[in-house]
Amino acid sequence: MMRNLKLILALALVLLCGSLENPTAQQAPEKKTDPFPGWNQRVADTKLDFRHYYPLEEVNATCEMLVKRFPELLSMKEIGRSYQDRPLYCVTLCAQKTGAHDTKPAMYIDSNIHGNEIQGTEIILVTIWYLLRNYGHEEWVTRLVDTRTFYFVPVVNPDSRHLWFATPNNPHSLRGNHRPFDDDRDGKFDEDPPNDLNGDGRITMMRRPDPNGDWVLGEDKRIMVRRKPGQPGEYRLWRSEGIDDDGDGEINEDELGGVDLNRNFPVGWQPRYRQWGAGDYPCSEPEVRACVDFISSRDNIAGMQFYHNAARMILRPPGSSSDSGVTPREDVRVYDRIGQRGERIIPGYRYLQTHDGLYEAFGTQIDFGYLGLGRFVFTNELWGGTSHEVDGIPGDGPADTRDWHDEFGNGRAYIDWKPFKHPDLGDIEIGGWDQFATRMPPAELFIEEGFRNALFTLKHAESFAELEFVSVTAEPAGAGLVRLRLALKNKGVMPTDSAMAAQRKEDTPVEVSVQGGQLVMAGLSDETFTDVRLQKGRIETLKIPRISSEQIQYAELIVKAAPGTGLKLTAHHPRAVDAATSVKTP
Amino acid sequence: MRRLLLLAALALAPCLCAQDDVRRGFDQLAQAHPTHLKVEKLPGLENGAFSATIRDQAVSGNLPCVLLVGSLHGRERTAAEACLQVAREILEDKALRDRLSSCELVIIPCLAPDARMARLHGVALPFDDDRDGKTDEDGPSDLNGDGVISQLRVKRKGGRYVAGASDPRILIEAAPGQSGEWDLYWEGKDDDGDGRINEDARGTITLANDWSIRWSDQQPGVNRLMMQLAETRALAEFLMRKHSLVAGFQLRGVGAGPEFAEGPKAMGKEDPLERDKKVVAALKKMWGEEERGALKGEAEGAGNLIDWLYESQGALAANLYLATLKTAREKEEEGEDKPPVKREKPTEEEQRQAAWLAYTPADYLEWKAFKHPQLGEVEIGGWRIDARCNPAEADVQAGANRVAGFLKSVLGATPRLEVSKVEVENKGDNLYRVRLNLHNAGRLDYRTKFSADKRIHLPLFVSLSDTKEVELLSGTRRQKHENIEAGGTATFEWFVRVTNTATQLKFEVESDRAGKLSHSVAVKDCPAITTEDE
Repeated sequence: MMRNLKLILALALVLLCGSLENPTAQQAPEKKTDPFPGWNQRVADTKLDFRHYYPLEEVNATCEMLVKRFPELLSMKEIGRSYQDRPLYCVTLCAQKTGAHDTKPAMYIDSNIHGNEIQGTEIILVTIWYLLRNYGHEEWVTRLVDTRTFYFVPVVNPDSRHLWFATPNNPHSLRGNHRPFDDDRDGKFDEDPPNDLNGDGRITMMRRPDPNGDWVLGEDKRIMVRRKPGQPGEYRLWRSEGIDDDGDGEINEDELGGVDLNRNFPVGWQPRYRQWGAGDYPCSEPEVRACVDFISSRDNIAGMQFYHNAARMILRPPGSSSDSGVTPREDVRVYDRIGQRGERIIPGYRYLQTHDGLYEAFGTQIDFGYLGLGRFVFTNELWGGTSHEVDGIPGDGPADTRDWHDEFGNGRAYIDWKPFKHPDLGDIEIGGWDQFATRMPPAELFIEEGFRNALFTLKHAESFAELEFVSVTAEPAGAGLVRLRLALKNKGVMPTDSAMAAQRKEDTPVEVSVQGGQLVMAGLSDETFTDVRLQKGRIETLKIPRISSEQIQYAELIVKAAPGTGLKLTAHHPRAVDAATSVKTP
Repeated sequence: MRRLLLLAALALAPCLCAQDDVRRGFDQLAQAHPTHLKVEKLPGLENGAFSATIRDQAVSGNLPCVLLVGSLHGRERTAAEACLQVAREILEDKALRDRLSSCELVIIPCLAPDARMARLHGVALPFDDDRDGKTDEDGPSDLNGDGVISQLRVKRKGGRYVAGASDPRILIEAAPGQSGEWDLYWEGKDDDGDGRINEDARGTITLANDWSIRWSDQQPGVNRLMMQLAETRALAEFLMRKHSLVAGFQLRGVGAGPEFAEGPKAMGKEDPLERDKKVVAALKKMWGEEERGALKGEAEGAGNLIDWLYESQGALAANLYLATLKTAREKEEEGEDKPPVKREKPTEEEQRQAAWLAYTPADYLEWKAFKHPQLGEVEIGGWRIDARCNPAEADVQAGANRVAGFLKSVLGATPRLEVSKVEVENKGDNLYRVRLNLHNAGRLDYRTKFSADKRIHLPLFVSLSDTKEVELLSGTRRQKHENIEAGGTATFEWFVRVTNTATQLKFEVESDRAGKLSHSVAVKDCPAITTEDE
């Protein structure tokens, strides 16, 4: 274990050396040409610093700064307001010169729906920065940006992010939003939250020696572990620092907020008695309503990524049930390809189905995205957890995690226990994990994990359906008509629509249109063009149902066009990269 | 010209009190009864929807609330006007006046008045039923210009429909193995040239199945996602602010009733619904005997309002119908002592149509030949598109009266908390064990058992006030209690030291349903505790 830890330390130091300087200047490729006037310098001047976590105000200011500096690619709009009337922003990254944002397949990425799960926001900033920096230089990035749109919602729960940074908290507090909620059902709301008793600016834990307690000291005397059955207890432990604010004999039993926004989505929603934190009804919370309205009104969103913490997982839907009888096999295969690629991109992360791999959850983003709209969606649980070992990185237990923090967090992660005179409990000790520990890496180490996650998301976007005319032939059909025979391939990893979308009737056909002639008849065909099934109804375009991953669809069109005419064919699907080709009539 | 004729016919149609008239009627009632009726716009909606609250307006705070929602199914338009008659009946009942200081009736005649006015089945939300990128572009139309949209049938061997055995005018689906004779449509044509008729009509998304309990995307007429319609959200938000809902009723057109929400099917061994079923049985008695053989209303389907009111709002909930309809067969057999004659029974659908045909014959039009632009020789006639939804005009008033009578009974039965007794046990040296008995004098439980078990709303709280003369030695000052059954009593105890026997014991009861209740009594006036804890 120690050998592995040393290896980790060495690796981390190498990374640190590469990122502590201005990361932009340090890593800028040489001999770049500007995609837009002054672009490289503008990127260099951003001086984004990923060695700290961003309070809400800094997130918003950074987004505004980026949008102002890079208007060629970025725009920003308010998509709704939070319970406390803070704006929810969406930053759109779109190369206007290749089309408006809603004409291209889009990747939707959001973060910080749980107020304490913060670092996905920084990953979004890393993602934007990476795309800006490499646009016009890295071929795959340039192509990605030219052919796709990215919608970023860096903070879904702005009220909690604001307060999580602005007031003392622990790693787990302020998960929900700020709608007052009566956790202890005493008719009062949010009246007994944790308190920073010793005034050190954080909420840690409290312990008191007690032979009847359920906790004992671990091998490392700072770490508390549950006593084993039959083992005498040593301590009573309160997981949050605080007092009995409302005099009901309980401590910290009614904290601030709230509804768990990630249980308030309108797919598979269950009432509070079945799903804690569900809210009064689906979309009762303005933050969720804003996201649902935004996403469900954009039929170009092909993929979604939600950032959470912790436990190093790449989660796919469903969250409310097992796959059996729910998830079509074809979709599982697509998820597996993207998810398993993610495991390679982000070592230490496990690709799992949410319900079976983590827990059952109702009314979640991930089910909304997939079971509701049929889009391919992932939730990444960043950092943390005790299942860290891939080549031993960074350890396999709480003590290892603490060592990791001691070494890299300069002792800031674990606060030593100190005596305190408690008004209700008498002599106690206060100490334990810092607010920024356990659920996120020390800020100096964020960049690698942040970049790897950003890369996974970009690869997800790269997996979208992409249409390509493999072949088009034209032959005379008499009476001024031309018979076109075409093979249209979806070369993407993802189908044009998931099988779930088809089941939910959320699918859209690929439309092939012809310019330069009048489409008279159209039909889908087999590979040999012997079995042509004519399209019913009015023939304005050829409509092709869902094209699976890397599959070819054949079709025959009868077009009225003069000999020698150049016909332009386009294939369009709102969630696929479109294709165009031309053919000359004989 | 055809459009004008159609509009004229719509204006003259029976039982079609316009929404403006309903609102005007409520406003006039409010003017006549300013102390007991308040009419307000329903927040969050700009479609003319409003709520009418009947209670003693001088009384502040929460009161046990009974809700009546009309015309949720768009074509059941008479429910909205019946709501006005229900309100009038209740406000003009002087015997009920006193009761309205301790309970309230909230009436929402129609959540989607714009859709009601447009005679839509659902809401006025543009929707792309056939997923061709266009919304509402191919709905039924008045082809023959008679001012009515009815049915259209095409003679075709192997068609889906056959003439009914009891009445050849009735078309029913052919049985498996049976060869059909007709294809049947609503009157209309292929407006968008896609080869289909009436496949994308206006107002197809219904409010009736938009609610989150057991919502299903397989339910016909359902929106893409649950509870996303503005009307649904508005009612949900309205009720979120009203935790005093005791019972909620949806007023419908024709069917047997009342139909109560029954809760989820699988509740385990200790079924919390058993208690609620007893309460429901008592409510059914209030409604009165149901006519034998009455046809049930159209099935509500998944994601309906009454399941939502019961399972999400913790209220007793039911559909009430303005009129019942009996099959011809049942009518025939009425009063006969001899056993029924054995004969082949018409299908349920045929019986239903036959009953409607007898009830509202004017809603069935004679079939007439018509040259259809796409289908060729067809016949137009049969049922009007909005038939079989509403009671005959003559029955609306009677139905409204019955509903009003029922609601009066329910209002009279709503939970009513009273401090029935404060007892003390003298332990010497001015030490007393104090027991307060809180009684529910209503004929309905304080809340449903389902609501209490699932902790849908808050419990009620009873506090012993903090005064200099009363020192609390043991017991929790503010105690909570989840539920008190109808006619039941809950006890709360404290151990105190008092200054002397003249000391006043002061108590406060707080509840979602009944607001605040204060009670004060001198120690010397309290009877001695004679029994052990209940």
